[in-house]
Amino acid sequence: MANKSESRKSAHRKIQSDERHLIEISALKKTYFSEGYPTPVLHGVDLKIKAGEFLAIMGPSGSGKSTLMHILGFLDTLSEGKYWFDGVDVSKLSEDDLALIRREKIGFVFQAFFLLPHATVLENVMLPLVYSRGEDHHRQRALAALEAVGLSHRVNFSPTNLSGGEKQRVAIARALVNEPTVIFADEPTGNLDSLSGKQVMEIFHQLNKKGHTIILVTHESVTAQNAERIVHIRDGLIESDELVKDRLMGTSQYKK
Amino acid sequence: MKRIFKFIGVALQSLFSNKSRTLLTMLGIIIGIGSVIMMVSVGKGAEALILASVRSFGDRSIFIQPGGGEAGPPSVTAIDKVKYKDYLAIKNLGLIEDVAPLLIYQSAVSFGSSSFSSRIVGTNENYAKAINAEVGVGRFISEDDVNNANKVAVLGLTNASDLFGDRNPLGEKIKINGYNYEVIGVMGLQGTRFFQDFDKRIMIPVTAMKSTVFGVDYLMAITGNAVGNIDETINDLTYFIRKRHAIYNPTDDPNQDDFRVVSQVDAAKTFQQVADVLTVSLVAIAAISLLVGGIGIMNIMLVAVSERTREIGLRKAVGATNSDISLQFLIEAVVLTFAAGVLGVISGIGLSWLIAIVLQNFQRDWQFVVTLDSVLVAFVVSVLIGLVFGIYPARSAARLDPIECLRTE
Repeated sequence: MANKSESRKSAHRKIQSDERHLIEISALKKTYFSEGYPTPVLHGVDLKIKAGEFLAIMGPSGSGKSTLMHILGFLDTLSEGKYWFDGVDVSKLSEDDLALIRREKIGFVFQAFFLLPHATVLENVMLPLVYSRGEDHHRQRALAALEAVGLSHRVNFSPTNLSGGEKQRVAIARALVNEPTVIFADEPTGNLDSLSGKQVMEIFHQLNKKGHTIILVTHESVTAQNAERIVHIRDGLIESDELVKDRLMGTSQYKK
Repeated sequence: MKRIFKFIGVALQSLFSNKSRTLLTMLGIIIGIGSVIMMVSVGKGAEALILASVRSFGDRSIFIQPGGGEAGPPSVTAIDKVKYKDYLAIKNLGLIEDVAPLLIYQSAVSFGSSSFSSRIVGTNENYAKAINAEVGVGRFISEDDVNNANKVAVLGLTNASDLFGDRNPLGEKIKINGYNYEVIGVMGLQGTRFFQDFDKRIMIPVTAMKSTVFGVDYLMAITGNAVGNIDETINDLTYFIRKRHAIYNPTDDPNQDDFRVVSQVDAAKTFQQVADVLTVSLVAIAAISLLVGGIGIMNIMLVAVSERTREIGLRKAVGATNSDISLQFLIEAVVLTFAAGVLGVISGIGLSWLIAIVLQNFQRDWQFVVTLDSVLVAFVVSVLIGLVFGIYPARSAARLDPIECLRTE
């Protein structure tokens, strides 16, 4: 077991280079406590991600991939280890500091979209801007984000009248509106048919080309093939970390 | 500040998305605030009426009534303690002028086929002056009428029109308790004083009343206007009557007297105290409904927090801090209660106006009063209710873990 773990780590190290990394975690551990009993989820993860990378985190359910994403995305804090974001040690930040980083640097796309049903498409996209201090032109920024996902014609629609693919594109526009450094996508195609799924992945390709770092969490290997690098997690440890050979490069232009 | 305006927008959006619940939640506050506005308005209206009554009698007016004590109606046993002889003695004393006796009874009155029950006031030639009233047509009771116990009557304006319509009542005979009285005059419009309609009174010589109608030797009251200082006059009259009634009362305990001498100002104070107590207790009841309404707000806000767990998780994920979430729900509660306060004020003013219209049928001088103070207090209270009852739900929303929130189905 120890040898297997060692070999995993050495395989992983091959990929890490000396370049400056946007995200760098070392010996990251996470333990949840439920009624006083500890449940360890991550057992010591090392990972470096460069700015502008398109990375997929894969693993079976219970492997710890969602927990890793939550910590990387500042929704959760780590129990042990170190986390540097853009060269800054962010291992021990207050809840408010984490909220500030989420607001300014992070965009989230969730499997279940999480759109507010009573707000219009535009209002949903503008949601993160409610919490940004200062800065105007909120409407223009939201419209630009909607244009980027090809939904300019749905601005005043209610989310309830949209298809699943369109809902997810609204969610992507919402993630984009703050011009985040990193976009985290948690099973973004999980609730979509294959065509809508392809369209959504195509948008991620476009965003990645524009310089956004994309971190995709999925258990579908086909979806993961869109990324340039796949990190496999199992039992709270990185099992493999490899570049994708036959990468799917979304070519079909998504339909408006 | 800008953040607060943004959150007001967010609050309005979520309140409008569930209109019927929002309205039902507000109902408790609307009723509470509306009641407070209404109670205060009624209280102020009563106050205005009392002040008008005092002014209508004139501020030198003094009443001598049977029964000791500070306030309240005389006890049954004390009702005959102020005698007609007291009136004769006080009339000649010179402490008060325009002295008039008052013997008031309800009695049947008829003319031809029309008949009704009315207040009959047995009095003398000074009465009109003593109560600051004027005769409209004809003349008032004269000294001769009183001395000779003439069966003459002066009608209140309403009584005159009820009995005679457009006909001239002067010289006509009306029946009071079976005896014929000649109408010699009709009073001018007097209105309501101390909740009594003076236009529905018929004045006859007190001597005529004593001999024909009731045959009693006591009076309901003696009235007149103080010649000198009012307080001194009250004191002097009190000592004078104690002496006549053989009451030994060195401690000046009003409960030991069998009469009391009051000025209109005192009477007004008494009424004012009653009105104040009434207003305070009614407002207190309305305040309880505000408390209940506030608890309703808290309850619904807690429901809203648990219903919108995913929304809270999402808002946190896109960068809302705990204080943002807390402020947002607090503002939502305040917007809710303030809107309810506005509706409450509007409905309270509307109800006060309706009450004023209804009361004006009975009390012509009733005024519709809504003070700016009460409206401002209502707004402040409604905002405070939102703050007080919104803080707990807001804080419980802020404490939620974003990951747990996003996991909920």
